[in-house]
Amino acid sequence: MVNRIKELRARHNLTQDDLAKKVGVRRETIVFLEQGKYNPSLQLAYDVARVLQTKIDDLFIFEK
Amino acid sequence: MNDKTRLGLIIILTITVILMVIALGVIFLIKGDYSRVTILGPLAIIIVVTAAVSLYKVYQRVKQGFPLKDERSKGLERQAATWAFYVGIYWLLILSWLSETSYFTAWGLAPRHIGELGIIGMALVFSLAYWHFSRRGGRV
Repeated sequence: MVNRIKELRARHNLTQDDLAKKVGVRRETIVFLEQGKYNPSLQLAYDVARVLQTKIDDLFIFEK
Repeated sequence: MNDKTRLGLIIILTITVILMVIALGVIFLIKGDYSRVTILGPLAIIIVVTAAVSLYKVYQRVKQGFPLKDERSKGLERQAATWAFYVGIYWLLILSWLSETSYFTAWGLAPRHIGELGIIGMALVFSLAYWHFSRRGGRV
């Protein structure tokens, strides 16, 4: 699964620290999310999408 | 309970454990039980130092406004605890078997050390498993 978190975060002028605090997770979680090394829960995916003002479908691209 | 209160309790608990470890070491030295100090002492020191460093990092993180735990760290804890439990069972079995052999006494250990070695082993497995799964990534 790939994602556009880094791209959209930069568009909103947010640092990893800012996004982590807004979503309520540790900074490492955002780092691993951006690297595609962590698959978030639906709740976290929704929270990140909400902060970045987008939909989950646009944020996470599922590949078979 | 908020994160700062929880962290305060963890710090108090950790300091209590560190003081207990130091007190036990002093008691063993006074009683002349040097094997416990020379063999278990370095292991206990490694664990205590690792715990103190980790706690300091967590304290800095909470101070900056990050949560004490999140879904990823909770998952990592669950995974590491499961590993520590299963490996700990085998570790205790091995220790029980070893305690019946001459190897155990050759190292200056006695069957009464099984409990201490068991706890130290499980703590080490937990720390290593947490570190490994944290680096590996993936769903936890």
